[in-house]
Amino acid sequence: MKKHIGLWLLAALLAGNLFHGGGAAAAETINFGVQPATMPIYIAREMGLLDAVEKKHDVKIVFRSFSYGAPENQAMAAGELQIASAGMGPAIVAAARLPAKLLAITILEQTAILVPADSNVTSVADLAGKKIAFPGKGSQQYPLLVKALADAGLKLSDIELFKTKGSDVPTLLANKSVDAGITWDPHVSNALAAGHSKVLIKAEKILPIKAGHYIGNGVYARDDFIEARPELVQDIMDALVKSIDLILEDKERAAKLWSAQIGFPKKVIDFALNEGISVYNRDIAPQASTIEAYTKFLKEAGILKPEDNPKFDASFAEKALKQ
Amino acid sequence: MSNETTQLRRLVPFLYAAAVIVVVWQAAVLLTNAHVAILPPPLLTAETFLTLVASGELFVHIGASLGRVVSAWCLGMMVAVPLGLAMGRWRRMEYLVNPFVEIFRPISPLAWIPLAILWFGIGESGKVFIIFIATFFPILLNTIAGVKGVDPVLIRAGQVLGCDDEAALFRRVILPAAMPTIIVGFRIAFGTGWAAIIAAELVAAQSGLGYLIADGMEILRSDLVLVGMVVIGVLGVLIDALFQAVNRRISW
Repeated sequence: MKKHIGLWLLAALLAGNLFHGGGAAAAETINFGVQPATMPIYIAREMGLLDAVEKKHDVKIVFRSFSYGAPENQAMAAGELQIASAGMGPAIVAAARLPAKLLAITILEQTAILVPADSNVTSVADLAGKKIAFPGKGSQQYPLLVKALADAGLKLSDIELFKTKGSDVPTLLANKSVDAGITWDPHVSNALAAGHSKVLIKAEKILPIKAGHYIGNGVYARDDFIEARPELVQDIMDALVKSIDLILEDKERAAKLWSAQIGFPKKVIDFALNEGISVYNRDIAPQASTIEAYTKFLKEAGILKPEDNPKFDASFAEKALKQ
Repeated sequence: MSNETTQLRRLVPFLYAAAVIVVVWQAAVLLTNAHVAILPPPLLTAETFLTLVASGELFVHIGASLGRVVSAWCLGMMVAVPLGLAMGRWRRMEYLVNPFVEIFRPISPLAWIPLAILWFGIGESGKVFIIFIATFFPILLNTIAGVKGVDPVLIRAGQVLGCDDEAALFRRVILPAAMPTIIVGFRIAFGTGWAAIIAAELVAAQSGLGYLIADGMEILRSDLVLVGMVVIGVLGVLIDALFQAVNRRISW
């Protein structure tokens, strides 16, 4: 009798498990590649905009953080990311080399070449023979550095490159391990706010590509994801535009929300916004002329091959701007 | 059997392996419909290889990597052979030094990268140090084994027949007798040093086959990654064949 009760209980347990499993399907996970930077998608998360998107589409948007764009692209190539936000360099490389498209340009400027505050380097030409920290060839900082050097009549062989994480550049400048470093915000603002570094040249002076601005950051997604989930992509774009509206209207609140998400001190983010290190513009739609100019820039830096043609789709961003 | 026939017979297994690899590779590309960024087809990789050869860039990378490995390997020989001879010959020396060898030997060259940067900076020294770690232990252990493997009868005979001191004994009996085993250590060490190139060239390199692979990964050029891997593999085989040929020609 006891044996039979035990068997019945086990059968009931298994049946219950099966029923439960069959009745409630898990929400689809959408992996969104991000970096610890002042990206508008973090604001969207903090504002609860992504919660609404998740509920509407029965998905779970999970942020996967990377230290820079190259591993982010490798993850997208492997199908582990459906959508990502990264520097424009990696975004265009992905749009050229992967089955993916650029959907939006979400941050302007954002990059600068820094030197120690007491450095006697006053121009890019003075970098000859110096050691310069950079975040790797897969970052947008590399081609910007190449261009800045070329404009000053220098080649890469005239300097000593030191590859490091973008977040380590302020530390290397502070302890004078390098003579200069190129990195992106908020690491730029981190170094400047601490007072141990100064700007040698900003990205928009190296490559003013969109109405005098440099295009710092892009959002891009896999073709199969865009095709399968166009409404979800649209809602994410809508959320991005609303986030940028908040950034433009209420910098104070935006800085608080970013600080909560990415763990950077609010004063560093305030610095970035107030000093124009990271600039935001509602018009996130990628334009053909801008993409063409940037592609040419990457081809000249040897990042893209002559036959590479990045793909972009401005329709989602344009529709989002009409809201 | 003529010399040419012998050489051809040695080459056949490698040609067969290369053919199988290419066929399986192409089949994988076709069956999986892999995107070119994930797995470029053999033909594209061959085109990239030829482009790098034509521009001379590949030879720059090969030269840089070979230079680092040869430097580290020579340094490994200079340190490991005398130490190995001493540890093999004198038990007390082995007793004192062996614990350190056993502690450091399992540590991968990759693990030494952060310290290599701190101690040696981002120049060539750091890279050579990483490869030195990879070459040191095979040479040391083979030297110890070679010395210990010398027939005690030979040593006694040497002592009786005119080797008045340790230096003479080493020079005329122990070293020649141990040399075949030591040479095997050199051969293994070059192989492990060559395999450590990828790790070494993560230390702020601007040239080299490991750099070519890392560079390719950064910009989603899997064809560059594969070219680097193939060249490392082929050169590894050729260098090992050279060692074997030298070993066959020298009689100890």
